[in-house]
Amino acid sequence: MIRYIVKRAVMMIPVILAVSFVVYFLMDLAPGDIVTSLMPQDATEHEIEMMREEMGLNGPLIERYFRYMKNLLKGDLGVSLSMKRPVMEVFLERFPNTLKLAFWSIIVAMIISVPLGIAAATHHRTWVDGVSMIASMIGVSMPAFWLGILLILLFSLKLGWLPSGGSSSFKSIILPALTLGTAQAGNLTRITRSSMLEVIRQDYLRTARAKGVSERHVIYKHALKNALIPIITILGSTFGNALGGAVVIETVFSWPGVARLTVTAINTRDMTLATGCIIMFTIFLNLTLLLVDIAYAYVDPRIKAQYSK
Amino acid sequence: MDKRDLVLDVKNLVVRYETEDGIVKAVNGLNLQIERGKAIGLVGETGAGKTTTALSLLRLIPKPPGVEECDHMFLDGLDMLSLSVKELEKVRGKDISMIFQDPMTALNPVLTVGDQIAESIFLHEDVSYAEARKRAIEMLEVVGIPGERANEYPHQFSGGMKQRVVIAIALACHPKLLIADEPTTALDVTIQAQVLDLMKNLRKHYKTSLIMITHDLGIVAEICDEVAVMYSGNIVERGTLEDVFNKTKHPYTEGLFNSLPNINDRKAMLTPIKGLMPDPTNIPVGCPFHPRCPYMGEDCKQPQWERAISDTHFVRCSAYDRPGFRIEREER
Repeated sequence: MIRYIVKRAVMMIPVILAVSFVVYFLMDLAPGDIVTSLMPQDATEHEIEMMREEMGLNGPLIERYFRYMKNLLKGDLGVSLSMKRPVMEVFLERFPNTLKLAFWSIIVAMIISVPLGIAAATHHRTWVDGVSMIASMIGVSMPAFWLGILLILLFSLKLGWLPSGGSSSFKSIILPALTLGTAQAGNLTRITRSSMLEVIRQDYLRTARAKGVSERHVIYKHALKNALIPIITILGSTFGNALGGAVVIETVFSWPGVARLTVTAINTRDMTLATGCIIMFTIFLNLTLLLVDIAYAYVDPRIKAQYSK
Repeated sequence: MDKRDLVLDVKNLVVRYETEDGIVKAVNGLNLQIERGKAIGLVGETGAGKTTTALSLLRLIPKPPGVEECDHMFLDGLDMLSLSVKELEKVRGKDISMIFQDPMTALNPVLTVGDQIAESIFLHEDVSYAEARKRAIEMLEVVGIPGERANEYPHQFSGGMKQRVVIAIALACHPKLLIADEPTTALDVTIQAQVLDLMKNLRKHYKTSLIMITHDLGIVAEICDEVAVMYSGNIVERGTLEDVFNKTKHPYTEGLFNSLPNINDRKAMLTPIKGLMPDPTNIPVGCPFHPRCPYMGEDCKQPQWERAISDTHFVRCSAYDRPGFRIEREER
């Protein structure tokens, strides 16, 4: 098992290298130049060159890339050009917020979708199934920002129960997590349903029933554990989406997360900050997928057996 | 009133599946009685309604689409039709249990075999889980698997061993009636013999009554005391081994014996029964076998009932009302 984890972790290195190179290369190609926008209008050609030299923006692309990667290994992502602070520091300051939002939104999504998906599967082709499928369709198709705005209108403006934005207290996570979670619940419900439908037809559930196991136990003990594998896969990528795709939510709720930081960095041509954020994201996403793979092994002994060989 | 000591008494069982494509008549007015400690073989082609009968005895027919009708169904005097879901859960696995056809899919892949056996014991006997685990390990050893393998998962076992585990689950609480649904069909021949031997011995040891569902007449001759031949959702002939094998009465049973290879004449052509089993959505009126029957007469299109040939031998064939009627096999 440990060997597998190590092997899987080593495989992350080429992925991270490839992504970082592409990102670095694209950022270099992007139009717009932070130096000219930072310098006064009347700066001479010579002064601009001096500034470039100082910021380490001179030299061929490959050379700069290798210098960048060498620093990355030391945990140094350079200095944000617009904020004049180390990128790593800015990133780590914001990242816990994003992680918190992703975590709670997944919790919300699971609380909604797992029972709903199971109910839909066990009541296949009845009104229960119909209602939950319509609900999940609505969840999938409803734009998150719109739902966010509706929730703000109701809970912040009309009822005044919850803050409409910021991250001052625990209360402020509720609305963004609810919005992001609901948006993900739609997909997750459908996966849970189809996965359960697959398992429900299996012979071993008939064996369990013939043993005298109650229907409730048949579903929650015997079936659910088998149905979890596709659900975990989707959970992993959902978590990735929540990490990276939360830009809209972070904007609507002025949530100080990394997604919004990255977009701002791109808009202001702060290439060091943008590149650093994206590469850090890649690393965390890879770690999430590694966790998903480990989770498989705990759910399914057949996968565990493959690893230990 | 029947004076025999019956473990199972079913009268006029009807099971049909009402699907969008039509009504599938799986079991049509079946009567079945089993004496305590006896083994009965339920023989018939695929689709004759054997498995549906078995599931119905466990009251496990999925509804919808299944619909059950029955005059009475007593399991050791217990009226199975009047039991609530909760009460049925207490009976299943305890008084009546079942071995399924395909051991490859009958075990839950994410639970250890020890836990799967222990679950049954824990549910039905008043013991702690640790005690149930201990008895599960003993049960594994009874079916010939080393107890230390209790912590392994089904994928770590071979097909024959999986079937042993399934047998251990079914016998864990010493049921009064065991239904074995083609327990050896998915296994290769040498393993078949081992598993049959095991079942035979355990059945004697625990004094369990047995319904052996199979399409293999050899297995029936090996294990059972009585035979019931099923065709198109009904029993067409039943009796002791001697009655059915040597004094065959029903034309369908005759057809089954004729289609067996003859070990003394290896070059002889097999004589199959002409035609196919009727579509269960569209069963012929009267005797369902009449379109394929060589003795077919006008009376076969009338409703059929059972005729007693002797105290133990029954046949569902109206041809025996014709004076002097005999089937070919009898004349030999």
